[in-house]
Amino acid sequence: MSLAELNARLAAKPAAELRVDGLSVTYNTARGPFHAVEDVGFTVPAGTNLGLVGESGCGKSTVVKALMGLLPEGTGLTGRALLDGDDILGLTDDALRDVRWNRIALITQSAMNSLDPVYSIGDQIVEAIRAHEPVGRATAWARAEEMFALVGLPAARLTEFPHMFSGGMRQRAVIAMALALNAGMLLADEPTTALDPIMQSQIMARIRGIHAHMRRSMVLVTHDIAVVAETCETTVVMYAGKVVESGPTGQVLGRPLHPYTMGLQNAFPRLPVRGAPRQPLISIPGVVPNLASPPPGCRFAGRCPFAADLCRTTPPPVAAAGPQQAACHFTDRAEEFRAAAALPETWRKMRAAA
Amino acid sequence: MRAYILRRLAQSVLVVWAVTTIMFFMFRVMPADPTAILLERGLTDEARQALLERWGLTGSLWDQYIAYLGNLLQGDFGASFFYRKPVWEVLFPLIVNTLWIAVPGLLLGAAIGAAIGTAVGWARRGGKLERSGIFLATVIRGVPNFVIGIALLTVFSSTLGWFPGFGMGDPGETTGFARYLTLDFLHHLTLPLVAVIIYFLPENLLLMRSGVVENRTEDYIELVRAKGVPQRRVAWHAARNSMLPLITWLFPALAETIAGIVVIEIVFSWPGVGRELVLAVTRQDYPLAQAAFFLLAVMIVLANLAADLVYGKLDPRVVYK
Amino acid sequence: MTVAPDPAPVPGPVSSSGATPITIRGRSPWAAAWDSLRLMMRDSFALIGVVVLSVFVVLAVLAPWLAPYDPFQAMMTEAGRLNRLSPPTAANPFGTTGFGQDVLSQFLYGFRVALMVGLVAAVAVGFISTLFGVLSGYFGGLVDDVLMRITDVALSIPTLPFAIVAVALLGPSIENIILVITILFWRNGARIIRSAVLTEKERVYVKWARAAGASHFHIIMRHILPNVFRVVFLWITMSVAFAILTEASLSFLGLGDPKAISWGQMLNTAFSSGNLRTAWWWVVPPSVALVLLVSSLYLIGRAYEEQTNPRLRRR
Repeated sequence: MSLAELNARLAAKPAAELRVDGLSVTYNTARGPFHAVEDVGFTVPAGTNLGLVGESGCGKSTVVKALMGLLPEGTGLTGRALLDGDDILGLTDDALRDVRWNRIALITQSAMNSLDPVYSIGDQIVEAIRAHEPVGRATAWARAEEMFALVGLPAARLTEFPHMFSGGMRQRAVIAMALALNAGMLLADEPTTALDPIMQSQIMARIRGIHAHMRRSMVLVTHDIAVVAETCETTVVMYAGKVVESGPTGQVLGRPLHPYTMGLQNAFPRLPVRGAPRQPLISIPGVVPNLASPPPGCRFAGRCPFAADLCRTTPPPVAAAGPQQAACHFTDRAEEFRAAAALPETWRKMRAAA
Repeated sequence: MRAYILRRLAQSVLVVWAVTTIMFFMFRVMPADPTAILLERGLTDEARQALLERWGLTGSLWDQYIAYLGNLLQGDFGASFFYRKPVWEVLFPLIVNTLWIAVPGLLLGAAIGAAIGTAVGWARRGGKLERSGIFLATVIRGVPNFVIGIALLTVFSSTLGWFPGFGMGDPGETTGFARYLTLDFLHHLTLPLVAVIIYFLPENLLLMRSGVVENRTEDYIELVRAKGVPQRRVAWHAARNSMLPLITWLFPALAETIAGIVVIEIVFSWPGVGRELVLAVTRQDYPLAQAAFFLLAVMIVLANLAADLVYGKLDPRVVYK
Repeated sequence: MTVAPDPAPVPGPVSSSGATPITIRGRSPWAAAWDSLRLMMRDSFALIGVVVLSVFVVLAVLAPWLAPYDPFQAMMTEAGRLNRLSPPTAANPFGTTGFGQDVLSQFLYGFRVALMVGLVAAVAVGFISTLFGVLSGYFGGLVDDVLMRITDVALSIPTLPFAIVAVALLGPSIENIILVITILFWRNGARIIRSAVLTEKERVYVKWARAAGASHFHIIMRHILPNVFRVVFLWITMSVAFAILTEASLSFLGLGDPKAISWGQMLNTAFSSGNLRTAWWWVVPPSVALVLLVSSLYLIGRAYEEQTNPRLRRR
């Protein structure tokens, strides 16, 4: 198969739709079961981006690993993940061979260590292409050169080894690799976390550019809600292994219903609005609860400035307001909470109590 | 690169010099008198003096040392007490014989051990394959090499009669290198070679297994898995990266391995340097023993040098400075 | 002496709920040694090794009472001739050797030699390796330089050939064999322990202890040693195995102590008298005992290896 044929064949792949339903992941550790993810569900319509946000350790990366089938052996896994209608959850490595990279590709979290140190970058991209397409090495290499051009790297550097690349270049190489088979679904697991801020925005601009050009679907995992606001049509907020709020990005970030989303917004710098007072940066006091023995009620109750007794005893139901959903007992008081959450005193009181 | 090799060569020469010196003084300072064997022959004083001069045993210890080093540089190891001819003539043909079992034995042992080690390392943690692999390898590693030799000898030579268990065979008409290509030679080579392989294999297996277990949880393996390549290919990535520590580990292991070959040569009466060393020691033929020891040490130094260079070839991160 | 400040709360799900903060006082070396032993015993393969080893120790201690004859005594037939190469009988349950000696008695005395060589070598090698390893790793400088240069050269000395030459020159005796084994094996141990000490030295609590004015002796005893104990045990186990193997090899090559009976010597006599195939009762017991003993030591060593390398542990 020539390069032109390969390109045409790959370009014909449609964007994929992903429907995750009731996903739970339980790690079996020496100290007992650890419920990393519980009952997570979301839908990525074909050709759109979904942002999965939350603090570190809230289960975002576990969701990605579950979708790629990369969880360690013996991990408890329930629920469904329908990729264009096919359940890809809990398949064996052999059964996943055709799914991985062909239909769903991964942009890894730490590009630092995610490339094999003893193979050239080009060889590693070629390996991915030839695992799925019946092409010769030369054709695969030519395709890799095109992918390098797409992410702004000179083709000559394909022969180099990972240690010769800077962090930013390695991240681009990983993106080039993820694009190599034009999979319908991309999972980007904190693609910019390991980089400095300038490099972060460059890489994100690159990802957005590619998205506009290739129209793939993407799940973008990040703790940076500014990135989500710029990139994603849909936003899912996770806290301590559960989805606390989800919906169209404009609504979730513009009029959050869950106090945790409000707190997350406070923790990120925003451009000042003319005439309005400058928003102070407020961090959420406290830490994520230990998921080996999660609290009985709402998992955010311990850190929530608005928590009532009910919150500490009963898990909140999911309340829907149009396409926007939130797991909070008091979604009807969201307006009032938003006003209070913007004030540093609200959170400071919590800190004093903690 | 060239500068690096030159420097490593210089280092090797220094190590060889140090080993030579230790060996020289060991032979001279130890209680056993190297001239004793000559005195027992009931020689006259003049004849004895002449002999001592011929063997380079006159003068102060320091003079003897300088003379010894001088001779060594000219490739002169002295003359064997027992064979009454230059040591070099005795040992030279034996070097090739030792290499015939050592080199293929080491390489095959390492290759087979690494292959099985990868399979065991890649197997499910705590599963049957992993546990039985580790157990068997550890137990076989504990079998002394002469027991391996004795077992092979008893079963395949004395009882079944499939292979000869003694020496290298009769060269007959063939001379020179052609001798090593005869079926008879290969027939004789089989058992000692198998003994070296069995002796060397378990250690490699266990090292490779540890390397693969360490590497299989690395991030880069996750990405290789995510790419949807066949499982064998994923295991290969882990194995390829585990070869690097394996090679650094082989370095100290080499000394033990060469040592093991001495015993195997004895069991199969294989005419190699190691067997000659033992024979020379029991015959109190010190010039020969000294030279055989020197040769074994040089083999180890050269093998280390080779390991270094191979490492550089396998790991792109290594920069020769 | 002050107590370490409270560690900052660890974010994320792996909170420090059960973990105790490391205080500046460290651990007693004995407690650490005990912990290490207990952890090792949890490994079922190591447990097999320990059981075999214990049986061997008991047999070695009781050998003089268990052995039916003097190991050097020649058996006579009723006709008054040397009872050579007799297969197992009621009188000689393991048969007799080519010189008419009782195989069972020789075999039982072999336990003593093997375990004595192993024990003495373990103490000597363990002590010297630990001493040099800790000194050179902890203090660095000249001691370290000298040690490293010595081991560089020593690693290029072929072990068994060196032992063959040295024992031949010193004279074959158990004492000399043990001396040579000690000279040969301390070097690797010192190097391995040194690198473990280098890692431990950089730990935060060692630095705190230094800042708090603890003496070098205190730090070595309470912070360094307890944490390198696993490496030391691993090395001691391995040197016992190496020592037993080296003694057996030397004896097999005819360089054993003529005044003692060891398994290597038994095999040497059987081998050089050409009775390997016929007198299986003479060959099998020492071979099996050697394999069992060395393998058990390796099984124990492997458990320590698995412990010292956190990357090998199951997650």
